[in-house]
Amino acid sequence: MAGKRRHPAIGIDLGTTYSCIGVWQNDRVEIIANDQGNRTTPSYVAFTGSRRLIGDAAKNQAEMNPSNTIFDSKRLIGRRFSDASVQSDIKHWPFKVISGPDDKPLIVVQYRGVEHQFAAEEISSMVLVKMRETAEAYLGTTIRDAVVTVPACSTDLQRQATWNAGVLASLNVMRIIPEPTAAALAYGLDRKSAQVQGLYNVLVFDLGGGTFDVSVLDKVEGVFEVLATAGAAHLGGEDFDNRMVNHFVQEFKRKTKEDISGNPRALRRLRTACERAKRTLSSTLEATIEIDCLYEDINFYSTITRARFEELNMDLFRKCIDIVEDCLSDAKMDVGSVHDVVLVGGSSRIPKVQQFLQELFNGKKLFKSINPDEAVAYGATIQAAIMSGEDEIQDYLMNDATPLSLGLATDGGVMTVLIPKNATIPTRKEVVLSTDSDNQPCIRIQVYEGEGAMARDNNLLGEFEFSIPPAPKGVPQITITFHIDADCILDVAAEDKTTGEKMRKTITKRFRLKH
Amino acid sequence: VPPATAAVASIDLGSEWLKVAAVHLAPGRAPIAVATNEMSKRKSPALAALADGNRLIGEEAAGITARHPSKVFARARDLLAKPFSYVQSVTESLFLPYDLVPDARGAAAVRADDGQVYSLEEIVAMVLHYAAGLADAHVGAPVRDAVIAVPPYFGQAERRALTQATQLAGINVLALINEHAGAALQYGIDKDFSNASRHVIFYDMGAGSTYAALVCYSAYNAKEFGKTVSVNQFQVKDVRWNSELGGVEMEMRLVNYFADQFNKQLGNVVDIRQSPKAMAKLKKQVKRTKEILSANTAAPISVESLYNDVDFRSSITREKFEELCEDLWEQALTPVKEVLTHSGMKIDDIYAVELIGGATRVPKLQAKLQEFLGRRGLDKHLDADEAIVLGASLHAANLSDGIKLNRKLGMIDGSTYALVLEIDGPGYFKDESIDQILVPRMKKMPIKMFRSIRHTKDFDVSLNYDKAYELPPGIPSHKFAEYSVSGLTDASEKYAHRNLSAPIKANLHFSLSRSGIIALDRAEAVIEITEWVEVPKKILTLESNITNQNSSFEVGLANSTTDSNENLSSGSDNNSSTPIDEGNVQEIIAENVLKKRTFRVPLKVVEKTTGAGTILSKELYSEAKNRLEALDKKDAERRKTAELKNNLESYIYSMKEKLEESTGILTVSTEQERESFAQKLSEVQDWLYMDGEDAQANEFKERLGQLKAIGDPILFRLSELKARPAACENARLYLDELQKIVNKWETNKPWLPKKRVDEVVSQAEKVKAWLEEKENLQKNTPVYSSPVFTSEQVYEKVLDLQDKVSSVNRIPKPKPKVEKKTAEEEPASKGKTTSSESAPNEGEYTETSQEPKAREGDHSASANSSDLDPESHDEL
Repeated sequence: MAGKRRHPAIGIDLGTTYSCIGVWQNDRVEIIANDQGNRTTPSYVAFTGSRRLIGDAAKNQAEMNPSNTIFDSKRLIGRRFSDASVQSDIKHWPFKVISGPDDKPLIVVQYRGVEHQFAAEEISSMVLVKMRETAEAYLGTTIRDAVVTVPACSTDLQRQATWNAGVLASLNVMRIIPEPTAAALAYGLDRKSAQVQGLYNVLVFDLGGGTFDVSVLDKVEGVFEVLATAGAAHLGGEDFDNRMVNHFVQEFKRKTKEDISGNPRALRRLRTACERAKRTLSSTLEATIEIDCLYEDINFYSTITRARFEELNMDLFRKCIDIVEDCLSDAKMDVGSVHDVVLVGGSSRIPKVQQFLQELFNGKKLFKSINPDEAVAYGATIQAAIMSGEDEIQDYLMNDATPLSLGLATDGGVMTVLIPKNATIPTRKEVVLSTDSDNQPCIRIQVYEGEGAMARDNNLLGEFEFSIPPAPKGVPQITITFHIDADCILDVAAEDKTTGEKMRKTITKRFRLKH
Repeated sequence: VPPATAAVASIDLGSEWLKVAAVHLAPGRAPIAVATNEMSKRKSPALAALADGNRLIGEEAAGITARHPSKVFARARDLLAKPFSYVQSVTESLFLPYDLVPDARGAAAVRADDGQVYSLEEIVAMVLHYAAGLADAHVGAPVRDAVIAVPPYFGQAERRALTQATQLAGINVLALINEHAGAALQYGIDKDFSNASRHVIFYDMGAGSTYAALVCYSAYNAKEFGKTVSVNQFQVKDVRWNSELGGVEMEMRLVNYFADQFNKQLGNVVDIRQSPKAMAKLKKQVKRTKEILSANTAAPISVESLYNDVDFRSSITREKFEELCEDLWEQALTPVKEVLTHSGMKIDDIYAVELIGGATRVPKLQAKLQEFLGRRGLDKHLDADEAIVLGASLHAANLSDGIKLNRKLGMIDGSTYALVLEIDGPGYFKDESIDQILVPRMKKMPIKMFRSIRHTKDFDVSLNYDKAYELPPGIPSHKFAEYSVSGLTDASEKYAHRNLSAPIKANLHFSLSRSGIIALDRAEAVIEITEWVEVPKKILTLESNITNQNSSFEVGLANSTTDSNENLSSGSDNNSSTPIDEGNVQEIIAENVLKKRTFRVPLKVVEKTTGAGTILSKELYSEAKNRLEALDKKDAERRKTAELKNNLESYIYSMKEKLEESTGILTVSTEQERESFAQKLSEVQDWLYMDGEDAQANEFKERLGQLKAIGDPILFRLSELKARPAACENARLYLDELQKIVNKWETNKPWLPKKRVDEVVSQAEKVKAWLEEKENLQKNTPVYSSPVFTSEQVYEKVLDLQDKVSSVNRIPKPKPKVEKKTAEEEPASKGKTTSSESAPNEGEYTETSQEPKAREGDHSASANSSDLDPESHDEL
């Protein structure tokens, strides 16, 4: 296709625990699966006696090589060793972090028998290399240009460090955008905002497996800005799993008199079952737990209702809503000022969470159709496509309707609609016109597309003049036919049934669905 | 109402995994998307389970595999339309401990633990029904049209059985599409081949099989509105497969390796292969281990409580894994070698080798392919898991009525088997010169075919796979369909006395559908006769030199164009004058002339296929449909029960919270009442976790009703605590307003009957008294007792009073009596009459406008009334 870039641009969600990559292809965002077939790649890097591992391979061996398997590097990037959050995180990490020059945290690993020290952006760059290679294998071409995401509350130092990681990964980082901005882009809210007079505000609700983030964005002069952020560094799906595990530990004790709370093996199996049950409860009202020989020879079979799951976690769900309200307060905004709410993160699928959000925002429809694990990469990819010069960010692979009304300019420039928007195709419509002055030599057929009442407010698609014999005004009967065929090509024909004279024009503009 | 948006689906039902894509055009959404399941996953286990009286599909079925290995049915797609013995051997080799029974056709059926027997078509239908449900959930509306992807080695019986299973699932089959054609569609849709054609090999190693397909992409020119445009297309040139080599075969190597290891740990006193549960657990973990080996060079395996509460822990290196599968790597190359060999192509001619299928992620396999292909790299430009289902969705969009692709990519795919026709009948002499190949291998689909045989007796037709190629897996015989063609004997005897000009022929009409299914659609007898008929003599002025024409057709020609061009309507008279006279011209009135006539007689075609490959008969299909509907009904009941249980538990939690936290409830209930209710709630809650685990729907409903009988009155009293005073205040305001209305009536509407006005006043007094009495009684009644009166009662009384007021207000002013006067006063009299007539109209209007406001008890009614009344007064 003429004008298409030779090297497609990609969007990368560089996540704390998982990263995700998308490319604009087939006129839409394609999330790319890695060499293991996974659409998200663990943000893990591991060092062994013989090789370096990235992604799934690194995570797979983490239990066997804990001190040399690095994750959460995003929590270190652009920070100082002495930061309180860094000191707190270090306590939980199995790998070693020391203070380097200028209080920069360095990660210490044994690699090929030798101690190495890596900066956080070096680790992140390894993850980015993995993502780039994944995209290159899929696309069959070299990848250079990318848009990379960062958390909403990133400092300039953190953005710079992320950009550096991109450079180390041989990427041309076209732009670094906040994750909530990417999420808003994913749902096309940048274009929707153009239709809103004045300010346009979006709230992005991101509840993942381990973290919770809320952001309020506004759109000013075409650019999304983060007005306020709030969140909890350790609140998410894993906490909900813990509540369920505790519940069943109590149930097991009540039924069998045995306490398994100190049995790691039993707890591990129970947790796995609880995680599955939690997912099931997002689409059904009851889930079953069935574990053979959970403890000694005792089998454990039970069920849990959605109501019970919600009750177990009600205080956590309410805490999320409280944080949303705090964020709005920080942005000096009330719920009525928010135009749209976007859901991100796997745990945002929980029905009670969605219900609470809808209640808070007076029943407003939530944006949640895109896989919440992929929405950030999805939006970053759209940004990349825009910056790469894709002429239109919209999907026209297929359609079955006319998204805008089609009609003619008639008396006084009024738009007369022949084919209303969303009409199914193929379709054919006729209208009979006449002249508005005596002995008019011809009539001008002007075809417009749009919803304005006056033709001039709409988009002119084409025009032609149709000659007619002289006659008093109002006497000629000119039949105008609009025909859109199965290939979405508009054919406009004019015919004077008195003389049999015909004229036609084909308008080849494809009718497109908006993204 | 806007027209319903079109939506179609595609389903890739593999050996192990199920993928669903939906094509749905809605604002703000991708038009083609893979549907996710309840676990938010894009692929689901292709499993159906029948255990403990319940049916579970997909993720839920996978969840109980370890506990009920004999009740979770896997690989159903690969076992369709296969002989019982084959199904038995396959399931045994995979440690699938099903209760298999042969059905009437000799195919395998499964017996559930309630004794009910299900055909494999029904098992597959259950999975497909689940797939349709995923598409429904994704689209938000029912999706009933779908394209189903099938592997290239699916033969005739398998395709027909799968089609039938899909219909059992309530899905309309738009088409079956070969998996490789789906992948080829997905690959080519965004590319342009107008500058150069391109050969691509699609190499697919999935869980159960491996194939390589050679596809040629090119472009041709077409006219569009008078302009020449280039249209892209592809044709499948060849496809070769190994239907037994796949990821599962590798897994079984690991399973057996670890089983031996575990047996050794136990001192070889037992073989865990004899334990279905143990093997189910081991297989599950082996799958994970194999996945790790694709990314890492070593992988652990850990199975807790593998057997008799003994854990199994071990590890394996990639090197060892590759050694265990030593013989598989060369086999994996065979399909690629074969397509190259049979197509006469070299590796250098191939533009790309695209990998699809989960097992292509095995590093050794990739290395082996790379080694064979030489300098060129392997290509991974398609999503290995989703290329097929996405490509199939493009096909579905094309086939649907409401959706059109804006991009064109023509698809030419062909039959993966060569099909041979055989005729058998009494006295039938097999003419070796007749072309027996009905469908050559890779013959493009869809297509109609025609064969003609020379025979005079009823005969049998059989369709067979060509012996030159291998049969579909597990199929014991080359013959896959049999038909009897009758009516030919009768037709022959009927016309035997006629002067036959050619031997009697039978025409057979076949069709090969776009799904790759062949059928004998119909047959007809063709009888040609010549006979003498008298025609008027034509006077010839010149001597004729007409030579004798040999009009007889060359008999037995296959694909006879002449016959196919003839008038196809049966019994038609094809007049074909062939005068053979020559010479003497005689002047006579009439003479005999030979005429040829052709008769076409429809023949009866009855399918007589037997064996495991037979489709379900009408009766069996109907029974299967009923059984599936019964299961659906049971599923709905189970969901209903879960809903009722959830409602009960939800009520308990919300009421407990209210009892503990609501200050309002403290005032409208006694401590004893609250404690009693809380205790009752706890009792039911405890019951839920004990006997309630297995309770029926009715029981949940009853218990909820019992709790609500206690809780609802409390909540009612709480809401009345606010609602009742508000109602009383509203009533009091209205009564005050009413007094003003009545006062105005006395001055502005003196014509109103006193009796009626008194009734209103009396009624108002009664309401007022009632209100005072009730309020006093309520004041002396504890708020935790039943209310003496309710807000609803207050509103009822006020409304009743409003109705009375409105009806009185509507009474029109009576017309004044006018006495006859002298002629001199007549004009004045008329003027008065006119004036008095207009007044009631105005009054009527005023009353009407007051009515709705009065009903509402709106305070502004008084203002409006007082504003309007002076006007009436002036007129008076």
